[in-house]
Amino acid sequence: MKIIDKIKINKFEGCGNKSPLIIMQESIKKIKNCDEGVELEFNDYDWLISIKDILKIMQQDIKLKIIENRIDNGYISLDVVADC
Amino acid sequence: MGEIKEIVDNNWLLSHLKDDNVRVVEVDYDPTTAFNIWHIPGSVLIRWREDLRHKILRDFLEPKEFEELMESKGINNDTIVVLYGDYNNWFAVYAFWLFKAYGHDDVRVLNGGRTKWAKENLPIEKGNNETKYNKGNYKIKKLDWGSNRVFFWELLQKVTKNEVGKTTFLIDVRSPKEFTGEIRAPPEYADEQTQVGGHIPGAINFPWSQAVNPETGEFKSKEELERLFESSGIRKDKEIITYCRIGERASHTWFVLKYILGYPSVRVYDGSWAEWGNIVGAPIKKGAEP
Repeated sequence: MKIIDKIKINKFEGCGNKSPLIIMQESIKKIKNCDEGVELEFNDYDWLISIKDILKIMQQDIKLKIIENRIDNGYISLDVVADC
Repeated sequence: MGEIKEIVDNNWLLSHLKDDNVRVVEVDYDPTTAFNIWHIPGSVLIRWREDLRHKILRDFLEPKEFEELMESKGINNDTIVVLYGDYNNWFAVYAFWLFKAYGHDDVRVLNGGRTKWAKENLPIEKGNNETKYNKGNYKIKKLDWGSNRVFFWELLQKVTKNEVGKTTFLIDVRSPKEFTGEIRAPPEYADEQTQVGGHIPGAINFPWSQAVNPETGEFKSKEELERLFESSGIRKDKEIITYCRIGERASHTWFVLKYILGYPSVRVYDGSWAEWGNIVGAPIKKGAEP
């Protein structure tokens, strides 16, 4: 599996009109091939529920799955990878 | 936080979710990534930009529009309104500030907001299906901007007359990098950049996030907050003005000072850096010093 993008979002630094979840979606949309995935790290449980549901409704040519890695220093780490 | 009427916790809300006189309101800057994905059962949605902003001016909706908005959400003058929302509850607390300016009697904030509700795996509704309630009956009884809000021209006078740091404490609650002028806004927010970076001369940097528990988003204890603010030299016997970039983080700190710590005179400069950093000739300071 090749991690093609890594995103780390600190909820205390974000501020503005671009939701961190949009930033995550943009990263996920880069997955085009079966051996690709992206690594997402963030520190808000709200986003964990949300990103799981967003994945279910995202229009993507390739099937995706989430691998939850760890919670470290308040950060939830997960990989979104192609499921094929 | 049990002794502070303006703050409710998850247990309180769970036991009052079906009360006719309680309306749970999610206030989102971006509902497409918040309310529309999941929300607290029975809650109604207020969209920060579309519902609360003035249609033409950089300002808030007119009192008549506020009344109509409340009625459309089934809110009466005596309804207990509980606010929560996206972005660390910022816009919920910003809305709290607006509710207070428009004189709503009983408005409260859900401690920890979406973050703690999600962390505790509490019941949620999915999708953008907003619960419909019978039309409310709402009349604004008292409009009070004066004790809540500071406009640019008043603040400019205080700065130019050297009142900041003496009779008035100005608190910049943005991140240290925004305060020093290293950045004007996080890089992904290109349309919210100002012409210049830095801070208002005399302002103290007290990042808003110091007031919350990073794991849950809940407010820190009153004792801990007292220690934090006192050690930063922010005194109760002074007039306090908070600001940030667009006003939402400033409202968060305003809420902490006014409702948790009981500071008697706190107002928000909601024009904030998005205004000050674009005014031709306005005094600005760079670096970490006030």
